[in-house]
Amino acid sequence: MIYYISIILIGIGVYGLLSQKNLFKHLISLALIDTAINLFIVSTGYINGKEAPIYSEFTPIANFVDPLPQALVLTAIVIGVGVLALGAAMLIKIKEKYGTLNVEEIRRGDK
Amino acid sequence: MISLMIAIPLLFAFVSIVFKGLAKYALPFIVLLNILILLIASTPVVENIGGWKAPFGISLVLDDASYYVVLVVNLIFLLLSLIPQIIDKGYDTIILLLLTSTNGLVLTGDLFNSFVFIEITAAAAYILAYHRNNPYGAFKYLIIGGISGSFYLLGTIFSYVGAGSLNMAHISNNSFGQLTAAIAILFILGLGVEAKLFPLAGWVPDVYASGSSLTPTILGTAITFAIMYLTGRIFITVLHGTFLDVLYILGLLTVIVGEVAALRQDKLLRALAYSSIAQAGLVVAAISLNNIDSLTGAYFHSMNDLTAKFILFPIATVVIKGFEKDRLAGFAFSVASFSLIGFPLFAGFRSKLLIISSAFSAGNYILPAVLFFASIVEAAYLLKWNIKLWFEKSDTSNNIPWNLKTIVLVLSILLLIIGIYPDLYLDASRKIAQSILDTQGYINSVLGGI
Amino acid sequence: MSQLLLILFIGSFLVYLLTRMNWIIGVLANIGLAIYSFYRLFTFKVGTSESIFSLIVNQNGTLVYSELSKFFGIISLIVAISVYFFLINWLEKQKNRAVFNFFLALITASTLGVFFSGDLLTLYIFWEIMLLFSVLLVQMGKEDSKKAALNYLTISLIGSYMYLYAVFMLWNRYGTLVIKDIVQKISVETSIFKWAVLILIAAAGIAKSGIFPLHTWLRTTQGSSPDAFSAILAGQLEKLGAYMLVLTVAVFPSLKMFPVLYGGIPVFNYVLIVLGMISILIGTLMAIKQNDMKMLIAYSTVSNSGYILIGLATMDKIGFAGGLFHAFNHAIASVMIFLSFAAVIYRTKTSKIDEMGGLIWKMPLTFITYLVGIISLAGIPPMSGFISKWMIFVVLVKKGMFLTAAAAFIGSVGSFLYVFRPLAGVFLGQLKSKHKDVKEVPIFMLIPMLVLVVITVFFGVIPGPVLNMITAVEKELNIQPLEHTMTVIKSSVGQWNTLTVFTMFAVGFIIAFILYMVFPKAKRIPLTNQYTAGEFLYNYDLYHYSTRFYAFFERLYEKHPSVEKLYEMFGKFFKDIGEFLNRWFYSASPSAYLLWFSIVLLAIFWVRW
Repeated sequence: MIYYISIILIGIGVYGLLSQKNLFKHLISLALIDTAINLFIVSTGYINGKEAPIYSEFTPIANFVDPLPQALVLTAIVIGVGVLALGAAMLIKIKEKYGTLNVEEIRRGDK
Repeated sequence: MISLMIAIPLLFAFVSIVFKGLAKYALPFIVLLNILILLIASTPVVENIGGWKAPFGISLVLDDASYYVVLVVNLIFLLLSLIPQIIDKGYDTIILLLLTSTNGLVLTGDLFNSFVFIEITAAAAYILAYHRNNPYGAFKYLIIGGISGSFYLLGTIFSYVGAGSLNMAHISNNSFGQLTAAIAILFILGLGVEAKLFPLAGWVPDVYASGSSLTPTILGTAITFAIMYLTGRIFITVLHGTFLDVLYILGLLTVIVGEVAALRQDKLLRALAYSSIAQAGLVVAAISLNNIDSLTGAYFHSMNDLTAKFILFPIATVVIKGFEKDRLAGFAFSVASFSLIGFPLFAGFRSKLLIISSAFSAGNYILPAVLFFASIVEAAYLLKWNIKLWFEKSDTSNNIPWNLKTIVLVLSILLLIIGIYPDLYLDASRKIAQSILDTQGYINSVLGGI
Repeated sequence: MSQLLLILFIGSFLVYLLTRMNWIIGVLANIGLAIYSFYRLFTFKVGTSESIFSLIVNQNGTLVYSELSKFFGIISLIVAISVYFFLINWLEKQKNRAVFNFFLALITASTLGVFFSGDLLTLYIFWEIMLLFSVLLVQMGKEDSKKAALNYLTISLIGSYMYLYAVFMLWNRYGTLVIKDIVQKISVETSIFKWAVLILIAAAGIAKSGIFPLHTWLRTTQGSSPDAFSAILAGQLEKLGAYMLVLTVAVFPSLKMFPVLYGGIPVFNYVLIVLGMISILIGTLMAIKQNDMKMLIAYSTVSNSGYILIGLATMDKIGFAGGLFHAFNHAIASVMIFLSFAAVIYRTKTSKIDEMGGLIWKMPLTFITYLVGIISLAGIPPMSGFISKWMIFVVLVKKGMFLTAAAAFIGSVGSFLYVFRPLAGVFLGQLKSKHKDVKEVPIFMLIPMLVLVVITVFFGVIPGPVLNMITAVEKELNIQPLEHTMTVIKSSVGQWNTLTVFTMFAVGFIIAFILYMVFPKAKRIPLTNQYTAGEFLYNYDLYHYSTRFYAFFERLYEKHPSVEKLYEMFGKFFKDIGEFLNRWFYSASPSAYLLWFSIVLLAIFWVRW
């Protein structure tokens, strides 16, 4: 089920990147794709009916979902956030340089 | 011990945020320290971070291949650190970060770890791309780089799902079953953007030709070489050469497209950026032939290419007006371009010869033809630029700093020496090729015979 | 031989240093090197071979000294020495003398290297060194030469990379690159392989000697390169092309490799002959049109290379000898012509025919050089150029190849037309007022020109020594040797006695001279009176007829198709594609990047899954 959600999200992200002219929307689409992939990763480690991978008194038997994808996703999220922040910073600079975030106007400005 | 090569630059990168200006002085020493570590290390070294055994923890692997690649990368950074003029204020932190991530990228034996390092490299590269106020180019790079990073991550996860491990050696030892194709495609898309393959990497010219001499000099040399290593490592050592034919086609396409696109450029830097694309395509195509000679030729050619590009890019950004005032720089520029074209006596000839002969022995008649076509086009535009720069009258004197001039001159003489006595590069690249092809040896040395 | 080559390569660096100190010493050093190697050519024993550095695993480079290398080595050194002598005065006006001299020395060294090469890869290496430095020399000329150099480089590289491709095909098949070994094995191959290899190898020779599809670089390159270097280009470098053609048709045994068409000519050679035929026609027709005298002779080179190729490709004892002899004659004649042009340009600073005239009175010795040069080039007896053309004609007639013979004949007639144009426009006619005080060129420029005149006349009368070398080459290549004595060439159609012909011409000349002396002298009038019938002249410079000299003839083929334009179209096509890629792919928006990204993704999925 979650597979489908992540695939739909990737689709929305790709559609956004392909159809939008605004660079900020491109960045948002990138974020969507990132999120979708993170979701997908978490879903790969999920096993139906298992519990969160935390050792405690209540779970003496390690009846866990796979914890590794979750750990990976944490790292991936951090990296994604970094890249998004960088992208936002670039957008500010683009706005300063060209006065617009519209792709076509920037292209015209470049010539 | 080898983890220090990643840790120390990273530490200094953080420190240099607080103590501004420190990085500039620290960079040469850090790189020298790295090289020192390399010199006392004897391959193969496998270092398990945190004491976790190989398939479970992250391990750093210093075998023959990564040894020489790291050595080359660090030597490039050393050369770069000797020309502090081109590193603007604030960018030294980025250079340190880049050094960290590139070393990590090459040394790591863990797929997810390599994803992290690729993303750090890419992030540093986005910032470098912004150098000289080029935000749009950098943003475009960021978008396509971010997407490719996601695909690389997906590839990593698929390998985990398929082979049950993230350790490259372990993955290589296990089999994926049905997922092989998916993994290979995802890695092609993930690496292709960084490896400058044609339909994937449109960002290159806008980033390389921003007018900064720092950006192309470092991205087109050290990073490209590391990515080429990673391509070989993943597709040959880990994936046992599946889907190399796709890489081969993309590589050939890149060669043709890169050279043809370079032909019309009226900006030298842009032409050189396209030449960089084409050379990368050639290296990828040669890697994809997957035999010892072609791999040797590929890495040999990559080394020649980066030597030449380390000459061409800085000169191209500094000298806009011509060589009349500066004949030595002009000499270096010409030698580098002749080497790129592949005239006999110059280094590029030896590597191209090796690639061609290996292609012929593999029964491949298309790669040489494409290579020859590319060389003709390349000769046409590089010579055009040489003539233009040598004969253009200039009133303003270009100030090429003496240290840059010395480095460039030494490198050009190196190209000439390699053209006559290639063993210096050839041995290194042969070791890289052998060790990349030696899957079993890699598995044994990492997993210790599990 | 490796020792000689080493001396030459190291010597060229010395030449560079010496020229930097004092350019005359540099030129003298260069001459010294050339003369030394000329001497060494005669000391080597034919058939010796040496192995040098190795480039591919298990492949040693080899040098072999054969009659063929001796013959071509002698040609190229004669050319080199005479041009170097010329430089003693000429170089004064050239910029970057040290580099100029250095490159010349390197070119001579690598040219000899090509002739000595015993294996295909060594040959390629020397070939490329020669190419690189000749390109660098070409662009030292006039303003157009920058573009011409690119043109030259591109077309030559097309040729040499095709050659290299063939080299690797052979290497892949036999595991060896030594010419001698390959030649023994190749005749039993499949015919596709043989065709592919030989066409690819011939391409290098075709590009270098300016045969039809790859001749376009000659006009601009020879026209705009430094004047003295044009002579080297025509006399030394294009003969490398001839050498390569000999390699293709004779060293590779085309007679054994291909089925024989009528006249005993292999099919492959027939293709080459057709190409040679087209080049003769194109070269002649285009040469007639040129107004720049260097470009004119450049086109004549195209047509003469056609003769050489036809002669060689017949693989007949007379035809082959004729081809080789024509290579020799053309080298000498074109050097004479280009040197005399260089001398004219040295004094008048222009190469446009319609900007000159009447220089015969000012530069008589240069005129004589040019005259003898064109007589030899156009193939008029008693000069040596006639003999070689006659030999080629004889074989064409004997084999019944009348179409080719017709083309060769048209080319011969056409060559009278085009060599007359500079003669009339530059040397004869009315002297321009701005050239009133032009002097004859200095002595060191005259010496090589006159020596070459003597050589041409001498071999026109006594062709024996050259023919001896040629028969030695023929024996070496398993062709029946030409029957000849010092002055008589025998063929099945008849024989040609050069001495008799020369005596006849000499007697005729003497009779004419006596008549000229005996009859009363014509009254000398000012030249302009001829045009004006003694009227007063308002505008002095207008009356010399040299612009659109052959307008009546050019009109016949004004709208001819041009390969040059076709190549320009190709170049533009590639550039347009490049521009397209640049605009729509590389500097596109992130959306476009992603679009391509997804296309690749889908394509791979579709194809591979």
